[in-house]
Amino acid sequence: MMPRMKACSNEGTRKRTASRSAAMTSQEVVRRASGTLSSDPRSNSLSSRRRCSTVFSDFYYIEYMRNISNIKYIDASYFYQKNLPTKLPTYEAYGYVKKKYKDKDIVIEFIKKISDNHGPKQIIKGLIIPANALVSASKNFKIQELRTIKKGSNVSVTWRDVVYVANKPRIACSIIYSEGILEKIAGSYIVLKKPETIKIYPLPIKNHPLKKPKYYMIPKSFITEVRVIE
Amino acid sequence: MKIKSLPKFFPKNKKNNIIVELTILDDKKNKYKCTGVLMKENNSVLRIGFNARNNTVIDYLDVKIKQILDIKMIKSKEIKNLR
Repeated sequence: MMPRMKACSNEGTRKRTASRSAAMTSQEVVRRASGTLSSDPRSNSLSSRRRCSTVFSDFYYIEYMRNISNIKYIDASYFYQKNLPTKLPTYEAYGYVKKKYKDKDIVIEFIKKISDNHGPKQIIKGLIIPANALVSASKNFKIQELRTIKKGSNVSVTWRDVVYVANKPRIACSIIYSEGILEKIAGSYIVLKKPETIKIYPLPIKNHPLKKPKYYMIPKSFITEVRVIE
Repeated sequence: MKIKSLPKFFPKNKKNNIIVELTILDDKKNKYKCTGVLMKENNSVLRIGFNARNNTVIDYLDVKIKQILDIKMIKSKEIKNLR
């Protein structure tokens, strides 16, 4: 087989090369045939994409996958010692993004299979992040309940976690339940001391992580529920 | 199948990341596409970085050059930013 690098490396992705056409998935072919995607991506207006999403949700997935994206996000961290950082680490990834309109989670595929029609849920290698994990979304995120909770209280926190996926049919983030002492409330995160943390979705329920940490830094934007417990 | 003249995509003095998209064929003839930062290149392997924590790569893949069907550099204007 002759290498096709010359054509591909010198031309942008907007130009349709022969190699790109050959790599087109069967779903894209169906979509073109159904008239939901023109040959020029610039002609796809946002309104038409939204309209498509209500009718052909799987096709909408594919349209997003045409883009290579640079994603900057945050994640929760746990520690076995007291030397905690003053801010959450920032993560950066490149991949093919799948996100339904107004969906809670963003699926980022680092590797995707193109040789057969394996369905939209299979992830070869990638990660799933809550939409609120994006750096822009996590800044200035406020939780009303935290205003009335004092430091040192025993709290339970339910939150959505970033999950790394390899060869699994996942479409949603993990849901985590933590109990512990509210050690700190910072601008973008809280710290739980002596946390008991379990993963409650997907099943089976198990400790997260397996070895119990001393501290857990949880971004506020990940939290779906926080309560004081006796 | 062998790509004899792989262009050198990894200029040592370049400060910006080089983003590439690869088409890969595995041993079972399955085709894959992957994208990421080109980290390292030698005669037999390309290293593609997918994910970084505080600018340190934590997830990467070493791809054998003989498994690469297609490779292209992605311009920054073609990359969608989600931040």
